[in-house]
Amino acid sequence: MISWLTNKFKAVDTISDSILIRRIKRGDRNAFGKLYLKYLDAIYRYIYFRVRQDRQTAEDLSETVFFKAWEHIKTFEEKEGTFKPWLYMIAKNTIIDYFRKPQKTVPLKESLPYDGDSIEEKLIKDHEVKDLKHALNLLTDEQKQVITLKYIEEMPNYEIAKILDKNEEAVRALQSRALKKLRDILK
Amino acid sequence: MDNTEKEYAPLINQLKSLKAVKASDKFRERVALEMIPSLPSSASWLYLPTLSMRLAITCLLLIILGGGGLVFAAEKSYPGEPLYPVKKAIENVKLSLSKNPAVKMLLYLDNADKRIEELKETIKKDNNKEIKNITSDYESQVKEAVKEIKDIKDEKEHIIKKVNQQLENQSKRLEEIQQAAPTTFVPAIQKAIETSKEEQKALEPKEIPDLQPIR
Repeated sequence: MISWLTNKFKAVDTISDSILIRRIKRGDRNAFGKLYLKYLDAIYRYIYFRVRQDRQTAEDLSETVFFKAWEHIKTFEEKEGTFKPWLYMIAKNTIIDYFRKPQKTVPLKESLPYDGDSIEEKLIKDHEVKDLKHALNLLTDEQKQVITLKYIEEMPNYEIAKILDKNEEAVRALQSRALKKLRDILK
Repeated sequence: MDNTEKEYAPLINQLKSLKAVKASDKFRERVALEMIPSLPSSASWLYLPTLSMRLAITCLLLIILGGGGLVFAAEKSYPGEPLYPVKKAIENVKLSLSKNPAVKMLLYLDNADKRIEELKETIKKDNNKEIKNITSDYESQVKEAVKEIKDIKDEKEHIIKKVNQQLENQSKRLEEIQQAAPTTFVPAIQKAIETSKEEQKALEPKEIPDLQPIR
């Protein structure tokens, strides 16, 4: 099944985002599928660490993000910036809408059992990583975002600044405070 | 690497390992097989390369439709309201523009869902004539959805399972509406429930009878 999907959306990395976006604006769902495969995991992680690592919620919201991206692709002007920050801004707003609704409490001390865990997730479930994930949950929402975007997704500060609607200096200051807090929690 | 990153290098390395967190294969597959093929085709309608072309078409539409909110308002309308025919017309146009049987099937099921919502609201207004139209339309939408399945080639078994789940969900919602509805509306809603259940049955794999041994 996955190899079928991989074959179907082959050569994702060789087609630039701008060519895909032009095709998507003409209604090409295949092109959208390529973009989705390229960005799904990054968007999923961004949401996952912000919704207290609740897998089901992260998946539901990820799906919403891509659906909204399709709906609003015609408003995306390439000259305004890359597609990636635009997609992250949709994710940011989707999470804001999610938090506005009454939430059921997800206990912090465990990752909820989930039979969809990937092999990679199973492999990284060791003690140190569990502590790190727990520590991330104790950061403020903004701190979680800068840590996720900078050190997990390895985005440059100018892109993070666009997503968070801050200047780069503010982003650097947030990163520094977040790293310090993480280190203090993990001591 | 700046000074902050040097100071926190071990922690940053640990954070990088969290890149292993990924969406499950099941989810990835479901979105690729269900959401993406069923994305509405509005993007292709409205893509125009230059700003001036977009402005020209927008102005024309505003003149013709008498206001940019018409289509949006129509989507929220119910039977008996002035904009309801526009809502139905939009549904029919979407269906006629779609060539993919999986997408058509999803559009029919989506229309069936809308009929159930309309039924709920229309019962409150006690409009018997509209109730019969809605339930009848619901039945047509469900039958058309199931007809489209025969033209689907990829992942048919998986799609049939999903359609069955949706029809089951619709039957349950109709039963809830029926329980709360006045007696005059019960037969029409019952017919809709029966249609939904018949179509679910039609999707079940047929049992091949055992061959009798030749004596």
